Amino acid sequence: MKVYSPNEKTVIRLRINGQIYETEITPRKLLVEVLRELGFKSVHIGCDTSQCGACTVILNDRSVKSCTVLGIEADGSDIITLEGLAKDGMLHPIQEAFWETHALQCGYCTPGMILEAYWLLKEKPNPTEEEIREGISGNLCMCTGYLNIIKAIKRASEIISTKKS
Amino acid sequence: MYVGKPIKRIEDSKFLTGRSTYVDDIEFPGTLFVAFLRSVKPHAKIKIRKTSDNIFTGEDINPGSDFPIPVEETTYVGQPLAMVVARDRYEAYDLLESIEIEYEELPFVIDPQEALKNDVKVYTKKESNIYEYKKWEAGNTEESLKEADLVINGELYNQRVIANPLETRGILAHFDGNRLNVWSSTQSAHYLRRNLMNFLGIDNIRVIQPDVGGAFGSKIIAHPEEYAVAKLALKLKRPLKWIPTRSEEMQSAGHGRDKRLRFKVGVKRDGTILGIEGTIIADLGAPYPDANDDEIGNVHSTIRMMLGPYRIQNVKIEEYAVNTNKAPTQSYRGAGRPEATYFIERIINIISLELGKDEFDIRERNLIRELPYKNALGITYDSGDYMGLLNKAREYYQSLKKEANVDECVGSSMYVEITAFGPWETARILAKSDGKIIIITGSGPHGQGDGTAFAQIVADVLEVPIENIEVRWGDTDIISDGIGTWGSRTLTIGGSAMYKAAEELKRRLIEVSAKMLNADAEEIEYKNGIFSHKKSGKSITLKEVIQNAYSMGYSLDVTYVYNVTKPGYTVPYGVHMALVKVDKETGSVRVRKYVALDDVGKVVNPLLAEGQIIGGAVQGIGQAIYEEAIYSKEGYLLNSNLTDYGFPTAMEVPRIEWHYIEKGLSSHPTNSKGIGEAGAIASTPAVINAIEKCIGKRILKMPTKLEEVI
Repeated sequence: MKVYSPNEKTVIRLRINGQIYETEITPRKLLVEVLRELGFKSVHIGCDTSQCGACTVILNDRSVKSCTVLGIEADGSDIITLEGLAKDGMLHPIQEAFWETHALQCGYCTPGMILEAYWLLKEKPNPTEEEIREGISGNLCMCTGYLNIIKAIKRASEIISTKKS
Repeated sequence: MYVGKPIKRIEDSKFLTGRSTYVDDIEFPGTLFVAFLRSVKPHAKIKIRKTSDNIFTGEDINPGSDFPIPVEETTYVGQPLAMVVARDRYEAYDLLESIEIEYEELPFVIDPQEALKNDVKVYTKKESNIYEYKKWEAGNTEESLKEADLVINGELYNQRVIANPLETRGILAHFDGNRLNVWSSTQSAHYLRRNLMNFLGIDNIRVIQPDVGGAFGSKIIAHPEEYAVAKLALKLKRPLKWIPTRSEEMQSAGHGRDKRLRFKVGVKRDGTILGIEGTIIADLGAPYPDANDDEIGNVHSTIRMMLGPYRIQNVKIEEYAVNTNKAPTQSYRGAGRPEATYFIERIINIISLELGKDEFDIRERNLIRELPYKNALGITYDSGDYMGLLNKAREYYQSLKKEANVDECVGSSMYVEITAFGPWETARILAKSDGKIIIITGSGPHGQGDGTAFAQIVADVLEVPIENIEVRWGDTDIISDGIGTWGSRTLTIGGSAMYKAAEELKRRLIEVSAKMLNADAEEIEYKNGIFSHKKSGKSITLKEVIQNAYSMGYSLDVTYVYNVTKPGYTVPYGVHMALVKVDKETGSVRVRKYVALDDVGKVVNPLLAEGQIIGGAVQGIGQAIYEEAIYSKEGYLLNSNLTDYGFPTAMEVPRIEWHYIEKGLSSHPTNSKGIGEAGAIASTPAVINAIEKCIGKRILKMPTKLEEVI
């Protein structure tokens, strides 16, 4: 069993948006800080009690609030952040739909919101309005009043299913 | 034409792909992190012992004064008292633990109604807790109440709430050997620069407003921490960054509203309002000058707008703006006008219930018939068709009522609002030699999407594709000066500056084209990027004209200062309606549907305007049902985190329908009025009025609590 002492730094390996990163951290460092220090500034901090979801990332295929995971706990994991969502310069349909429906204002919740939507649509490709509302209830937005976000996610699910068929 | 169309935001790309830059995303080599020790006593003499060279106190920032950082006396829990500087935020918060502080507790006062008795001093160096006492009077109120068939007494409390932008405040300050460079999550780079110049006594300061994660009024003022970090950056000559935690943010910033009204209203049987008499007590919190200056203006707005869209001639209001040992209050979306609309529209609802008459009938009976109209407290309502809008709203109201189930009620509110304040705003427009048009605003958008609206306005004036235009703001180095983004002013005042700047650029381009075509300027016709000589039929393109202007020595760099003339505001209005579902068994309340009808003059971009209405309405619904900053008797904020502080999630928001008319144009070149705050102003009373009908008893305070609804 590995024992961590408070000031001792440990090397962790993360696969972020398909690339491997190695970094040396103390055991108390939160994953959100690790990601931001590695340059993934889209991962935002909106609170200190795990409520707002601005730090949401996809960690081993699940949406996770990265402010509530220690960096060392994430050692060896596979992570997607918003920076990794657009492929070959093409926006992901969720990004496209957020733009089209005006689902963002200040943009601070947007990265976490889009990743939560990404995970939700993987779980439920054709969610109802209620399922979308519930699906993003861990992500707070202070600007939009949510309605355009709900619209965007619905729209994204339609774009994705048209592309598949 | 781009103006009037729902153009998608040109700002969005970076936000959608994670390439935005908020203040905490900015890094300099060698940046140190700053954290603040905060008071845990509402009122006390303090003594701080520096156990390390990396600890700084009020003596280092403002010797001999208790503001912005107390030297001797703290006046609220959460007040910054000392600061530490460390390599990163983890070490900074460790170091905070080591500060030795002695509190000598002093008597304190939390309730403003107690505070105004002046038995206990909020701050020992101030003679009175009453920041301002004023009588506001018009007509003969006493007489009007005597003539009334019915005098209704009541008390209404518009509670303290917290703005809570998802990004907190934050600052990065860096003295480069020559001048101080400051990045801040603020509502205006230029205004913060002026504040810092005044405080620091130097003028070589550059302020940059990077991307800002919302504000809702909370980032207008310079906060104590901003002054302190800027000062310390000059002292230490190292880049310093400060980002508070959410709990710190909630304890110390973004507090707003918090006003009480005790009233008497005299009405006739037919619903005519004869006069209103009342006392307003506004809680300013602790005596931090920047915040108090901000909020006292809001108190005046509350009182002067309290007559709503009604012909009320007799009014007498006693105002007490009072300091207490709580976090200082500041502007919060609406900045005094929500309280005004809340008070008068709650009174309308109460009258309607007392007289057993429809609220729309009460409104119609008292409504202002002709515009412009100067209300009894001196506010001029400039333009519109109040009756026309009310009648249109009545149709929506009737259909909402038809939709309501047995356990549901429909409430409504009508608002008038002052927007688009002066004194001026700047715009700069320049054409690069390659033909690109750069526009720079002196205001400071932080989510509202005004950049897109500015581009629409300029694209129309210059008759070019919107893609040719780049929009920038938020750096005191790129434009001469500016005011800022607040008071729902940006699109209208900033946009008018932009419109005028674009016209001037166009005039210059026509002059250049005339020279190129050997013609007089009057002979040039400009259309869609082509300058044609009417006589010769020769034409040249915009790009050619721009390129030649440079070789001819013409400047294509225009700054326009748009000066706002009296009265210095323009007045939108509207009716909002809420269908609420009340579960009398559990006490739970939910807004199921919401319809808004507004006249904000010319709507430059309906997609973005609707976004503002929805966002504002949800914040107002939040105030009605979920939100309150709760202080204990001991002076502690009991809910300083997003778990305990109720806030609507996607689960709680209703369907919202937005309609608009364009009857009341403003006299500004954009013909627009402000919309940024309207949703938050109108929604709170609409929701409470609906709940009040459903539960059959008067609602005195918000948010509606489960146990009070049952």
